[in-house]
Amino acid sequence: MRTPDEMERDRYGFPVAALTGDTVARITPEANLNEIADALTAGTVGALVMGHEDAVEGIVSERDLVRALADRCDPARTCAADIAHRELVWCDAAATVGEVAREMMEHYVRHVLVEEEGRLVGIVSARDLLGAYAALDGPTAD
Amino acid sequence: MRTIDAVRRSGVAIEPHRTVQDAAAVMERSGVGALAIVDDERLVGIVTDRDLVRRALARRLPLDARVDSVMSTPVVTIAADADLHDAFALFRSHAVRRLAVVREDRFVGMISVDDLLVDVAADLADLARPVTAEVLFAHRDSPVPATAGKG
Repeated sequence: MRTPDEMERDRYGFPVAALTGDTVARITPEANLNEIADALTAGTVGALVMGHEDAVEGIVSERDLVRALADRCDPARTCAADIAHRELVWCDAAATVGEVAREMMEHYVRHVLVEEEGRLVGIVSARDLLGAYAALDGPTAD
Repeated sequence: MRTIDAVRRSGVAIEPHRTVQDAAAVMERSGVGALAIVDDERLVGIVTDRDLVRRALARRLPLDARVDSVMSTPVVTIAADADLHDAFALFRSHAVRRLAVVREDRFVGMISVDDLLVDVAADLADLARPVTAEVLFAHRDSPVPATAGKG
């Protein structure tokens, strides 16, 4: 007989890479709040990777921008480096949805960076995971 | 199940003459991602964190711009006592992420697609509840929100 952990692994056992997009939207540390907003809008994403070229120095999200506005930061004089999260949580592209959900809970983050062979290949958000749960468990509202 | 029973937190409202910066501060203080815009007890719009980013910051609006200049309107509403299945139907037909919950035309709360997904997922997966409750929605140190005071 399977244990509850094994059953959960079966249910959420598909790789998190299935939830990430084709590209990762990026911003440099020097970009100001307006430019970050431009990049979020252009990429239709909720978070950006901050760093020069392929470097990954932090993550900036829509919510970080709202927090900066709440703190009365000047959008033209405040840059990504000032507001980015630098304590990054990574997972392997082969990690399962359930494993990444646990990482989010453990580290209390909304976004996890996905790597494959040492290279950043995507970002997965709590909302992405939630959508996956719902798709698997299936709404029965009709 | 009634729609109001699926609302996870008190609705937070702000008046239309308040500023974009005020809206950001209320969102941050209340730990919510959307505010109702209420003018003399009349619901006139909704503004989200995404609106502040895409309609204010990306368009270089001054932070003292009125919040009603970046709000979405008209607001898709649902009666507090409506069956929750009606909310699913409205989400499907209107392509919105949030509905304003009203009682006798007065705003009483907000329900999001995420709220409904939480219920769907959490029924079958204990894992989903802490992810959504602790990571997706809440700010770790935010108190339970109250309606923003008059400014």
